[in-house]
Amino acid sequence: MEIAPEETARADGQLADAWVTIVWNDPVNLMSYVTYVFRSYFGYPQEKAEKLMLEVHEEGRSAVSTGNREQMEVDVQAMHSFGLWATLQRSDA
Amino acid sequence: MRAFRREGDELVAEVDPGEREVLATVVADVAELLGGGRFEDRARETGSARPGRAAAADDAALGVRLRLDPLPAPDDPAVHRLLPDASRDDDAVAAEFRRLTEDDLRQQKIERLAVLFDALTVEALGHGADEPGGPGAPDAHGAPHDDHPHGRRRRRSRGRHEAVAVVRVAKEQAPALAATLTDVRLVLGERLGVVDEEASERLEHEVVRGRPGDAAGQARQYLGSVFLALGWWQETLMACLLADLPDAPGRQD
Repeated sequence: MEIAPEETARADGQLADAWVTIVWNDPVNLMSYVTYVFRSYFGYPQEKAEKLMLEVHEEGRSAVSTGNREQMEVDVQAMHSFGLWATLQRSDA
Repeated sequence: MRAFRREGDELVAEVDPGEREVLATVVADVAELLGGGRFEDRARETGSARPGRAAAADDAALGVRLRLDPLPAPDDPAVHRLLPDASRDDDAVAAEFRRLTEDDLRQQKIERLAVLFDALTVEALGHGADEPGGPGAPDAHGAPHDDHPHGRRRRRSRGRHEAVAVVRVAKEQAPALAATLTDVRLVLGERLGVVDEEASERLEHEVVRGRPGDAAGQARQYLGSVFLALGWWQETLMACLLADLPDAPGRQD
């Protein structure tokens, strides 16, 4: 499924609309837990999951996935379910 | 509170009676903040904090109903942390996301808290002395745990003689448990003002030093020690979960 029907019908007409999911740092979440979430949910290998986790920890945020808006809403909802604070935005924003 | 360990297809950890009650109360408090009612009451009436079949059907019916009106962000900062905004600068994106997802997220978090509450109460006491040889005999509190092999009836008369409880979670349920421990810690962290790494370290010093003055200081000491203990406990759970992931490092066999 390359392009969902809703996507072609979007009112804003941006077909190749690229969005990104950002995870923000917080002082409560454990580094091991954040790494685990990135590995188990996104299926990232340990090295990549750890790199993203350290980005969150040291730089305050990290872009963890990209896709269309609907896909990013799914990812953000999953992150909120895991207790990570995530937001979505256009990838050029 | 002991570290989680893997036992077959389960993750298992012993919890002392005092800790068990404190944890169950904190878990119930978080559920109440999220609008989940009072777990203790439901558990007393039905034997489980999870909603009964009738209530679940009501929830399902609610879930089908499409939410058309925008939903305001939660007023309580702790609840807001569990159900955060999905955009920092685009109110329309945040509002649309909240309208579409908040009911489900809330429901899911309450349900997971109910599972942990049951694991800490009804089920933990049921498991308590099931294990041959007794769980963790060198209990720090010296509580005897070899009597009353099926201790459910003792819920009403528990006290100093209660057995060490055993929290058992199926491997598949462990990620949900980790998420729930996170939710509980996020709420405690928010209440304790853990806004950055420095605040986190300050809290740790305070709890370790342990000289609370007034009532507010004592409450902070109490919640702070629960917060730190849960962090440690979750860390031991994560060690088990990370070790079980397919390409875990150090797995050469």
